[in-house]
Amino acid sequence: MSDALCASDLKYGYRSEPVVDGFDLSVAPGEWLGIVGPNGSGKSTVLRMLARLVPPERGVIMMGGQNMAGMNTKEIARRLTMLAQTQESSLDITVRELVRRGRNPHLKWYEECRGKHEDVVDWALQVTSLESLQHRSLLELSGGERQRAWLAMCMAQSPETLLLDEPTTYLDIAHQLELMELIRRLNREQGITVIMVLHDLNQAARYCDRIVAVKKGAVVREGRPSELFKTDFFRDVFGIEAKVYDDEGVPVYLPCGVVRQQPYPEKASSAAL
Amino acid sequence: MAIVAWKPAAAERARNPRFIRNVTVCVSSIALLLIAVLVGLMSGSIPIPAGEVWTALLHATDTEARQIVWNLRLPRILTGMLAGICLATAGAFLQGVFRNPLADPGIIGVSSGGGLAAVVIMILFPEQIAFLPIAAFTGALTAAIVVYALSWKGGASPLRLILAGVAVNSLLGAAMTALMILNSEKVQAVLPWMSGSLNGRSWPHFETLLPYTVIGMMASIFLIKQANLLVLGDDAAKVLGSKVEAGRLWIILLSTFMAGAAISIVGMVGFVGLVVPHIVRLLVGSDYRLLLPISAIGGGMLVIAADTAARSWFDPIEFPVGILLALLGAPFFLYLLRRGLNR
Repeated sequence: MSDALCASDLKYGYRSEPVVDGFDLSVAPGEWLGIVGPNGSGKSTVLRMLARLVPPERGVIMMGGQNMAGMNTKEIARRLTMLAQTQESSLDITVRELVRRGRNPHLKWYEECRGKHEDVVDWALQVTSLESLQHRSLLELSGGERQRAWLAMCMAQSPETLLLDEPTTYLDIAHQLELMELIRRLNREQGITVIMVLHDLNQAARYCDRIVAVKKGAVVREGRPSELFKTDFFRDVFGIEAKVYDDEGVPVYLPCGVVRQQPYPEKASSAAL
Repeated sequence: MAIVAWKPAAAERARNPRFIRNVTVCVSSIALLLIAVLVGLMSGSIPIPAGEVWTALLHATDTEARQIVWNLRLPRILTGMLAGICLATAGAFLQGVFRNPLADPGIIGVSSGGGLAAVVIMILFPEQIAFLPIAAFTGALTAAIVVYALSWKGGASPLRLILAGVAVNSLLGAAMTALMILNSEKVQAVLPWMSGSLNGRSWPHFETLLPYTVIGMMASIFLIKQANLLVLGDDAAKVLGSKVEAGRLWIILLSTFMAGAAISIVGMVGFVGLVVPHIVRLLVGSDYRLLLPISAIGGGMLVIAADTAARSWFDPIEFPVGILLALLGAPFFLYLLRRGLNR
């Protein structure tokens, strides 16, 4: 069976500075992959390329064995979706209306969301436990509920693959875990492949099947959380000293301090320029 | 992905609490439009009671009432209604694609482009005054295309469109002012047009504007879905399989077409395209399936009401409707702004 998503040798740059260079990735169907890395490592850009929001300068992205560059936008949208970190917040529409718009890739240009499409909307509201809120305006929802509503819209696309860009950043810890548990359910019960950029490494270890660490636009480490979480991983990727504990098979890290570096060797060379 | 069989919750769907409010807004906006038309037919320097208006509308007699109602007031009211429909529709669309509540047809250069073309005709080629609508329409279209082209950089982002619009507007505005200062003796003829006026608008104006309005409204039906995706944000719309740039271009073209047609007939009427979609959004929310038709009705109603007031309050002076709209629209807009800040 071919990979859900497979990227090879991706490159992308703002102006001439490459943000992503030589990035390779393959994700198996049904897998939950976490992408971690320090700020500015290019992990969000990679996710945007995978969602085809920005075109890579170089490299190929294959979805289920097909080159995405040659695929129709709607065809991609039927199989792949993305939940961003923040969403348009001034929209005064009901949750249900938002979720109905998730059916767009399955509708022809003249079709409205009706009949069996409404059944999918009902299903998406049910799996995200939003049935009781479906007629509320998005303006009336809390941050966690709103994030769930947008996730329900993604689910109404009935995707094979779900991309998420730090979706828990602006949520408190209870809502963070609630959203992670919900995504785990979608991953396990609906078999949706999940690719997620995360900040919180302990959450990454707890929920992801596999973690990919990105630095300077390329993959530097990858593996299962229990294999990956070692002190040298935190030192090399994030430049921190950390202790790693074991919590019933799940690795947990505790940051202890920043790795002492040579006092800025680049500064001398840039001054010479 | 296997979607588990799920019992359709049709009963739950029907229980949308907004349903009743939306129906109320629909019905009352149509009722208000009809009332505005009726009051508009009745009021003016010679008040005509409703009964006589009715007879004058239905029977082609030679009475004075028939003259006033059929040949003066009705075409003027209908022209104003079409202009209001066009401007409010354009404004509703543009506020959505720019995701900016301050967007109106002026922001993409429609007013300044049309205005400059009209001023050129009125001041430099007054003998060609018959071509004024065509010139204004062409000017509006050209300015919008220039704004769009200037903002293009692998895509036309809302922010760049607005910035390019501001730049083009100030340039065209400066040219317009320069022309007027250099020809100050002819400015008197230009002023009513500049502020938007329905004075002397009659059946030919209505007949010119009607096809543009009808074509525009029909085309807008097909763009509702696109607008509903664009308001979610460019990224979300792309993820939902929408061709964002193409959709935005079509919506801008349609808005320019409608707003350009309106200002070419009635002049630079402001505030309708800005305020009406704003108020309607507060009433029915951001769903274009409701926002658009109700904005159109509201725009028609507002222009009729304002013109009726401009005709009757200041009698015997025929006050330009655009000035009254700005005088009433600006404070109201400030009120909305404060309300928004408090929320």
